[in-house]
Amino acid sequence: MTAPLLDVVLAAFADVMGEPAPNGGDTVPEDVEMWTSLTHVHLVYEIESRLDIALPEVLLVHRGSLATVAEAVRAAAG
Amino acid sequence: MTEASTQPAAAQPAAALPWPELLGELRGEARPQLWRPAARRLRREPGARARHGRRQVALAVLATHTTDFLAEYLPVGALSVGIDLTVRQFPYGQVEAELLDPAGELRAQRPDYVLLAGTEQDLQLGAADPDAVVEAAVARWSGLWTRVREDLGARVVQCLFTVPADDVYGNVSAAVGSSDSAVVRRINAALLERGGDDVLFVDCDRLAADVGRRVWRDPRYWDALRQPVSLDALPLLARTVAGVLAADLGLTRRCLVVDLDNTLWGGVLGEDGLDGVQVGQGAVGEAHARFQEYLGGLRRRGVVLAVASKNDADLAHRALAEIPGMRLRPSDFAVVVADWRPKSEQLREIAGRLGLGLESLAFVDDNPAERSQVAGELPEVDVIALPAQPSQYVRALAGRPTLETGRPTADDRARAASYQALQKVEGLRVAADSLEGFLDSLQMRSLLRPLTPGGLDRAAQLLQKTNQFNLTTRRRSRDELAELLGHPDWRCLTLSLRDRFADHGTVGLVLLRLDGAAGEIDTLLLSCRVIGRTAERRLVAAAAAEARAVGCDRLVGRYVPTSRNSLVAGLYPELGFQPVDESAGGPAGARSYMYPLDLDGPSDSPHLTEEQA
Repeated sequence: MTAPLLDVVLAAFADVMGEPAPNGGDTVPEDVEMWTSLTHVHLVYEIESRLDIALPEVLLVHRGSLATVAEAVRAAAG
Repeated sequence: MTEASTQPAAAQPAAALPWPELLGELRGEARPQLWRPAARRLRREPGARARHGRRQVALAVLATHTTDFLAEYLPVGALSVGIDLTVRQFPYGQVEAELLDPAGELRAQRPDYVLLAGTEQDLQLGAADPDAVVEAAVARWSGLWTRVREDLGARVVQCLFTVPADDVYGNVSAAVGSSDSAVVRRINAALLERGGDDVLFVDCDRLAADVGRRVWRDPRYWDALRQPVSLDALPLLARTVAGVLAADLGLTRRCLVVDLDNTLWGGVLGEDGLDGVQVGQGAVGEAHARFQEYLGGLRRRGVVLAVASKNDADLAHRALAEIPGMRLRPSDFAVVVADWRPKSEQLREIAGRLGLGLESLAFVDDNPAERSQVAGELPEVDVIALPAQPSQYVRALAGRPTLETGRPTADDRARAASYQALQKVEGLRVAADSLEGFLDSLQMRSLLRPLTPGGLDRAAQLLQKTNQFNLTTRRRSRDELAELLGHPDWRCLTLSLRDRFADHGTVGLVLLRLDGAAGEIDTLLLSCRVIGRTAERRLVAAAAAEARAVGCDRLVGRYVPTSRNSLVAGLYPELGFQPVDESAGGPAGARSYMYPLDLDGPSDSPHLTEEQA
């Protein structure tokens, strides 16, 4: 996991949720009231837009920690 | 990522913009990076709804797919066109169940509009008999329209289907009648024909073609979430739905005010001269000519054009008449204001001369400073930013929700000429010795007719749009109006007017409710184009005649004040009506009046000659 990708995920998260992730990469949906299934899709979309990549559809419905999201982003970005 | 707009990104984050500016940005841009924070902010600041919404509307969304994302965007999109929209979603895939349940929540909600949406997955594309597929789809959705109208009394907003991005017939799919693409197109055409004027349509296939079909539909969202429209394209869909509602509610702009230099033509008239500005020749000239042609199309559709320019007046008028290659000429503009005053003052003058409220104006100018000045002084005006390149000017207007239209009526098409004639009328007024002489010189002819099904569209349009000369501002829908036709307790009359300069079409409406010995004028309105022509006297006299004919002994009129109709506050006393004491209740400030029908009158207008139908 490279730090810059996690930074992108954290920045996208703050933009979508309107607040920064309280626990950085360890933030999970239970930590943030705004992090619903809907806003999670917006988060995936925002990350895709920022990096100009397409993430796997499974990420649209699977909500883990932001670190796991960043890991999926790294895998998709090759 | 594909932009659904040509507008530059906002310099400030959306969350930081004042609401009027943010709503203006939403009208111009349809990208998620703007719409998502705007939607979030509206949820945090619900008070903005009341401040910027001119009409409260309830919308139910019934779909065969997920609509959560669309529902997020609809309220903020609607607010951008002046609608305080409450959206109620129902579980996807339960369209029939919700509509047919007599004890269901949908019936209890009594929405004003119902948005119906399906996807091509519903259509059984690829079946052996494409005719049967078309027939089944049309039967299903048109049957739902009937339920919406009859059981809910609501207006239908139907999303059309999108042609799939992938078709096994590829390049020849349009030529193969059984191809998925051909079948979807046939279904859309059949729905449009079946719906006629009773159904509002959102042409999703046109939107998909606009942004690109592969942008419109991201199969990942469908597979994972049953979400048929990509997040990229959703703001465009929400904005279009808002525009469709605005057009139906009469909230779209009636007059487009354009700048001249570097807007209507390339170059600056005062510096480049009549021979130096560019229209029709060269790349820049071609772009301005195309922009003018688009404006001409809007005019033919019924949008009134006007000019607000900082220029010498004589030179501006000469330029409009003489510059070679112009697609628009002076006769295309209802008002031309060219002087050195601030543009906001010019727009006020234009609104005043046309008898329109400022919220009926849109303004387009290449100069950001002028746009900013108008936006700051006149927040009611829809200020449209033009991109740097004239080749993209048309794009800035196309799809603007404030310029959305319903199916145009004959009156819409005649409107621009009618406004044009107003300027000639003003000239006559100035030259006349007296008001009576002026009115007679107009040689006005009126035609009073009972409202018929063929006149419903125009009458409903008047009910939705008329603000100033509207005694009660009761916004009955077309369907509600249709219910009054032929009802024994109601008389519905329209008034058409023409004068020596123009045929103004249907410009007046009176709805009379017969209640025992009283005939009550439920609605009395006139288009702002004919205010001051005494046509209201003909309508009230006609209402009195109708009431007398069924034995009523009094005619009751009511004035319900709004922020826009103070003009008619004294109308009934002026016509000889007497104030009636009212008990508490009813709208604040409402006043009732009565005219005893054993007296002659109320007096008709002596300035109108009645034509035979």
